[in-house]
This record gives sequence, C-alpha cells and structure tokens, in this order.
Amino acid sequence: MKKVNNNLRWVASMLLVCIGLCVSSCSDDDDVSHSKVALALESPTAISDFHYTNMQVTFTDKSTQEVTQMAYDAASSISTSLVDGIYDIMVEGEGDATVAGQTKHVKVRGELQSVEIADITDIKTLNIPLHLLDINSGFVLAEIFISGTETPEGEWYRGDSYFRIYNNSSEPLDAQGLILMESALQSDMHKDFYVLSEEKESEEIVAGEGTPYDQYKNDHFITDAVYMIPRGTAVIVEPGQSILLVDIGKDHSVDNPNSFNLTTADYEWYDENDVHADIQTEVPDLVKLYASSASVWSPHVRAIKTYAIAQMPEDVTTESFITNNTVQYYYEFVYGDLRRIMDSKKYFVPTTWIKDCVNLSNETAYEWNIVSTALDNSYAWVYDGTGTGYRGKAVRRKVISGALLQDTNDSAHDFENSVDANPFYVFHAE
Amino acid sequence: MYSMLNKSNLYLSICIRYTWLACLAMYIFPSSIHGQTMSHASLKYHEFNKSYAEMKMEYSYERSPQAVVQQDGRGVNQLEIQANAYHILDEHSKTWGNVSYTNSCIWDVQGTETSDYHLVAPYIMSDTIGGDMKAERYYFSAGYAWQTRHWTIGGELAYRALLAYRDIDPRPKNRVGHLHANVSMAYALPNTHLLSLHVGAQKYKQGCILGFNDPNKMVKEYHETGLGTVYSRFTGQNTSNDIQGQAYDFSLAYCPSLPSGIGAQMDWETMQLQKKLNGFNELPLTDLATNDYTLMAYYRKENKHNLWKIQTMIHILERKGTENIFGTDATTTYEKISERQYYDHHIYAYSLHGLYGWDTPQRHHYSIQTECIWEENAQTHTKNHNQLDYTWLKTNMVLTSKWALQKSSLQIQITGGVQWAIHSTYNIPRTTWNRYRLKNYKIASKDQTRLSTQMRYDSPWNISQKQIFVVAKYQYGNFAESLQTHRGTFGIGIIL
Repeated sequence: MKKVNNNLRWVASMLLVCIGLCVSSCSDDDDVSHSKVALALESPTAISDFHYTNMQVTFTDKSTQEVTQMAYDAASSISTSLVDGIYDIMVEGEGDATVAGQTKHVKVRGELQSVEIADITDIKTLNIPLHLLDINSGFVLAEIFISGTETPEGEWYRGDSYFRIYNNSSEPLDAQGLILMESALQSDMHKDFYVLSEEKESEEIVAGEGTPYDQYKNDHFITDAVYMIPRGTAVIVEPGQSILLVDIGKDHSVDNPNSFNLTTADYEWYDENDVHADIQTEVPDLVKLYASSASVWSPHVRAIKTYAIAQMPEDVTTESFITNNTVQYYYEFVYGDLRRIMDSKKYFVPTTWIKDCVNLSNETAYEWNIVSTALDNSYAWVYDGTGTGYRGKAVRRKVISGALLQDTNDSAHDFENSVDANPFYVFHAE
Repeated sequence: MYSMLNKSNLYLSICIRYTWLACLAMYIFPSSIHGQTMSHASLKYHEFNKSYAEMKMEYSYERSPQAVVQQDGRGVNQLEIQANAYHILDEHSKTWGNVSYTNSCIWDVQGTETSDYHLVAPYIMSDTIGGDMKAERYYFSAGYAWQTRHWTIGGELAYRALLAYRDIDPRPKNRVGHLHANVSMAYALPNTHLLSLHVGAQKYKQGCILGFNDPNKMVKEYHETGLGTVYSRFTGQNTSNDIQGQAYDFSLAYCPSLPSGIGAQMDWETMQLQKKLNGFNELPLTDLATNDYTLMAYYRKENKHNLWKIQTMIHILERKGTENIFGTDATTTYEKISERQYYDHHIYAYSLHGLYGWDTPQRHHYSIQTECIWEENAQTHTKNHNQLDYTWLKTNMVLTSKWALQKSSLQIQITGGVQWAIHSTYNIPRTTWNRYRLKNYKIASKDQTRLSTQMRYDSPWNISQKQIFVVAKYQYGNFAESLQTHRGTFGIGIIL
C-alpha cells in the first residue's frame, strides 16, 4: 500500500510539472500590429478651387496583394488603421475646378508607392500630390508588339517589332515631328534613383544629392531611345486611322511563316553604325535622335519598359534636343559593406510633350511605376512569367465603340493583354 | 539492490521488447507529427539482455487512383535496406546502432514542392503542376549506455539525410539534413523504479532549388503562408529557398524495473524553423514555432504466462507561424519592418490503450491490443478568418499471435481500425492552385477504415549459425469518394 502510494505520488508530481510546463510555455496570442495613417491631398498646380465629388482611396498591401478601398470624406484628410506592412496608395477622383479661368469638370489621380507603414506610435500623415488626368483624344499607341515571333521549328524570330499609332480623335491630325520613345528605366527594377541638376563625374556624386526620382518623374520622362517622324512634309492621319512604325520593313513571312509582311509599313527605325549593319528597306526611315545602343536599337524583348509618343515643339530642333535635354541619374548599390554609385546619362522629355504613354511589365516581376500616374496608372503585359507565351504576343487597346479606342491612362484597363500580334488588326469597320 | 536491479532488468527487457513489438501496430492511423513518447538512451540499456544484429530488405508498392493526402502522393514504389544491432560490450555497458537506406518513387505529389511537408507546413513552395518525386533517404544512428551502481547513463546520435527530386519540369531538388543528439540519465529508485531524464538537441536544414529545363513549361511558384494564402510579393520565379532551424527536447520518465508497476512519462519538444529566400540575400520570409507535449501514464502487470497493460496518453501540439514583412526594394536590401503572426495550428489528442498478452505451455504467444483516440486538429489563418479543423474518434484493435515451431517461428498480426469524423470545418477560398486542399478535406472529413495483415516467418539458416526471416504485409484502406488503397510489402532479413 505504501509502495502504491509512493508510485502514485511520483506520477501525480510529474502530472503537475507537465501541466505547469504546458501552461507556462504557452505564449499569449500576439495581436497583429496596426498603425494609423492620415492622407493629405495636394491639388494639382494647374487648377484651383477644386471641389471633388467622388474620391476613392485604395491601399494595396504589397506582401499579400490585398486591397482596402475607402471613400475620401468631405473633410480635408482621411485617416485609417492598417496592418503594419508596405503599401501602394492610390487616390482617384473627379470634381469641379477652375482651369485657366474656366470652371471645368476634371479627373485627378495621385499615388505613393512602396510606403512603409510600421511601428507608428501616433499617426503618420502622408502627403499625396494629385495630377490632372488629361485624357486627350489625339494620337494613342494602339498596339505594341516587341517580343518577336516563333518559327514553325520553335526558334525565336526577331526584327518584326512594331508600334501602331492611332488617331483617336474626330479630326485629322498631322503626325510629323511625332517622337517614339522607350523609357530608360524598367518596371521590374525598382531602385532609389536620384536625378542630378548638373552633370558630375561618378566619383563626385554624393549619395542622396539631387532630386528623388519619385518627384522628378511627375514632370519628366527619361528615355534611352528617341526616333522621330520626319518633319517638313505633312503626315496626315485621318480619324480612326493609324500609322505603323516597324523595326525592319520587309516581308518577314518569307523567313518565318508565323511573322508578318511589313513592307507596307509607314516608317522603320534604322540605325546606321559601324558595329552591326542594320537592314535598310524601301520603308521610309524615322529620324534617329538618340539610342543608347551603339549598334542597332531593339525594344526590350521582355516588355518591361514604358513606351511613349510625344510631339516635339516646332522650336525644338534635333540639335537643340541633343544639347539641352540630357539628364544624369544614379542610385546607390548597397551589398553588405559595399556601397557604390551607379549612374547613367540619358535624355529626358517633359511630360507636357507626351501624347500617350504605355507601361509594360511582367505579371510576376512588376515592382514599380516608372512614370507619373497621370501618364499611366498601371501596366499592360505580354508575359505572365510562365512558359514562352510572349512570342507572337502583343498588347492591344480596347475599342469602346465605333472608331473610339479606350484611353483612361490606365493600361490595365485600356489594353487587352497578351493577344496574338497583328499589325493590320481591324479596330472598326470602315 | 544491484543484483535485484540486474534481475529486474531481465523482466524489464522482456516486457519492453514484448510490448514494443506488439506496439508496432499500435498507431495504425498516421500519428499527427509525433504522438509517441521519446526514447531514452538510458532506458534502452535495459531493453535487451543479449546482443543481436539484424539486416533486412523490404520492398513496398502502392498505387492508388487518388491520394489520401495530396502532399503524400498516391502511392509509392520503395526499396529499403536496414541494419540494426544491439551489442553488450561488457557487464556494465551496451551499444546499439541503426543504418538504413531507402530508395523510393512517390507517385503524383501535389500541393508541395518542399520535402518533409508535415514538418515544415504551411511554409512550403508549391505550384499547379506537381508530379512524381524520387527520393533517397539515409539514416544513421548510434547509442551507448553504461550502468553504475545506481545510475544508467546513455547518449544517442542520429542523422537523417534526404535527397528528393523530379526528372521533369518543374524540377525540385531538395536536400535535407537532420541531426539529433541526446543524453539521458536514469536513477534506480529504492522503490524498484527508474527515474530517467532525457535532454536532446536537433539541427535541421532543407535546401530547395526548383528549375525548369523547358521555358515552355515554366509556371509560377507560390510561397504559401497557410490555408489558401500566399506571400504574393515573392510569387513567381523565386524558386530557391532554405528552411533551417533547431529543436530541443526534454523528457522525464518514471518506469518500473520490475514486471509490474506504474509508469509515467512526460515529453516536451520545441522547434523553430525559418524559411529564407536565397535570391534576396537570404531574406527570412517566415518563422514557424512548434511546441509538442506528451504525457503518458500506465499500469502494467506481468507474470510468467501473461501480461496486461493499460495506458492513457495526452498529446498537445501547438504551432504558430509568423510572416515577416519587408520594406521597399529600392535599396537592394529588404529590411524587415514588421511581422504578422497569422497562422495557428493545434492538436489535442487523448488516448486510452489496453494490452493483454499470454503465453501457452507450447511457447506460443498471443496478444490483443485495443486503442481509442480522440483527436481535435484545428488550423486557422486569422487574416481572412480561414479555418480548417477536424475532430476524429479513432479506434484500433491488434491481434498478434506468434507460434514457436520446432526450430522456427511464425508470427501473424491482424490490425483493424476505424476513424470516425465527428466534426469538420472548411473555410478556405477556392483558387486554381489551391484545389488540392479541398481534395484533402473531402477525404479527411469522412469516416475511414484501415485493415492490415502481417506475417513473419523466422527460420534457422542451415549454412551458418544464423536465422533468416521473411515478412509479408498487406494494408488496405477504405475512404470517402469511393477511394480504396492497397499496399503490399515484402521483405527478407537475416539475424546475425
């Protein structure tokens, strides 16, 4: 009996110790940390007396892609509590404002990307500058094809890239002097860029000096390829009609039955150089202002850059553009203790020249918007990151009705993604 | 006391071995991660009273039309070679070891491209394709214990290496290294019981690299964060990651050194695993903390001809997952700015076991075991209130008979079990890449039955003073969705 009591005492002791361990080692449930933020909107400088009637704020959690939307209230700011994280914040709305002395109904948009919201003890106020959403109905990029086609043998075929520029207005437009540009930066490579006010040697650049790119891009577009439709002769494009700008204006279907006959294109970009001979065809050449390539320029085949068309003012010559529109920008590369300034020299175009702008990216690689949200709010895509489906694929602007194509400066909504390329696609019946 | 301890060792060793052999089939239903008590090296000293060495080779085959658990595949084609030895060095010290090599092909693994799914889930990498997985597993373990007047001190070292890969796109290649070292000390109490303390440490690392040879077959790889959620920011082609961490285990056992008596054991294992993305300077994406508690108590009574034992066990498993949040990618290095503890998984299991065995004058052995387990298994992801939980009642019965023939022996074991699904909840959004989770639920949320028959024949080998044996085993499962599984195992071995 005594032995049984001793045994039971041992077992009971172990039970108590075990229960104690369980209780003591169970940690309290940790609440997920939240922070409070407030938004202060800055009206566009081009307007005054702005009274908005409908303003939506969208918070996108970059880690989970979860979207939180709310209406901007009538007060001057909005505050909310968010789970700690990193967010893209978009504000979009409309209202009445005074523009050049006249009351107009305008649309505005503003955004902040990659905003860190964490460990905020009180409340953090985020200033968001709004931009006037100028949805012009002039020339637009209707279709972009730059990823090459595939031969019947499964090989990659290049040289048949094209841009289709469309007159989305109700009046004939003159395309002479229109410039086609590719952005210098990529949507899949987000860096902390700064733009210098004057040229410097790389060694003289101090990290942090200059204008942050997020501010610079509101008024400028940095480009690494600029080709212009020749001036001197009117290039009239009727409403609902388009002109085709191609890489090599030949019949590619001879070499690749899956490609196109581009001999009827309106213009081709031609690069005369000593490094790599470009192919000269009967198609008229664009005027080459600048291309970063020392040989021939090809649009980035992974379709992760931005393309724009702009109207160079008549008083700007190609010579003055080359002289006056240079820009130097940099970012600091950091890896452990290694720090190095990585700078580049390219050209810029004021956003006021730009007629249309289309962001392209890769569904699985998109990191940031390299242009002002007023130019393009999102991106269209050819490649979703799987397989080789980008070959022979283009982005094509949607048709609203008749000869009118959709243009809200929001490529995710304005374009059909990854469609079969067709340089002669019929947008509407004649 | 010392001589009594030696004599009691004989009873203890017979009892432990008898019970251990009978308990091989105790857990007919796959236990949730652990659910079994830890082995003490100091108590293993008393397991056998004579040396033995055994080698065996086993081949298993199963191919079902559908998987019971998608991540485990729907069958296996496996060859295992194993060697066990237990050697008495002298009057006070013993050593033992185990070596095994397994080569297997697991059919149609879906829902994970990461190995050791049940250990590292939910922070795995997955895609919509999956496929057959080939695996090679190496296992080495060695132990040593010695006995003094009152103390038995022992230590064990075990290492598991796994190489899992696939020959077609998507091509994961996973390398696992899992090291476990432990020491234990047992003290012979005056009341003919042993009190043993076990302390152990583990180191775990899994390297996962997934590639595509054919660009046409590239698909997105998802870094899952539990119950239908993914870490969207790094979804895509970030296919190289490591999972590494460590664990510590503690156990206190109180067991009789005589044939009859009360025993108890409590175990605690704590493990931390971290998943890192290699393509982002080893970004620490997620953390998983596991605490595993087991408490067991039993009473055993044994005499010369029969044995009976009743045992109760409580098993609690708690896993908490944390997602680390990182700031802007513009600076090349992603700095951690916050963390979110969204994932929670707990298992509560209560079991009652009974065993009765008896010998006949002809030296035949018989035993009956019954088991009843109540298990509550619940997972939540608090972000969107995603939830998956089950409550099961599992009952098993094992009938074992071993006939001593002239110079050989024949053992037959029949095992049957029923798992009743008492309650289940599924609240997870349906997506194209998440469809395997619903398949798992459709099986686990319904009743299931399993039957197993195993036969082993031992015979002396005329060529030398050795003994050979053959083993044949058939396992049958009946599940929801008209799913029936059949698995056959055949093995031969030699006792040296």
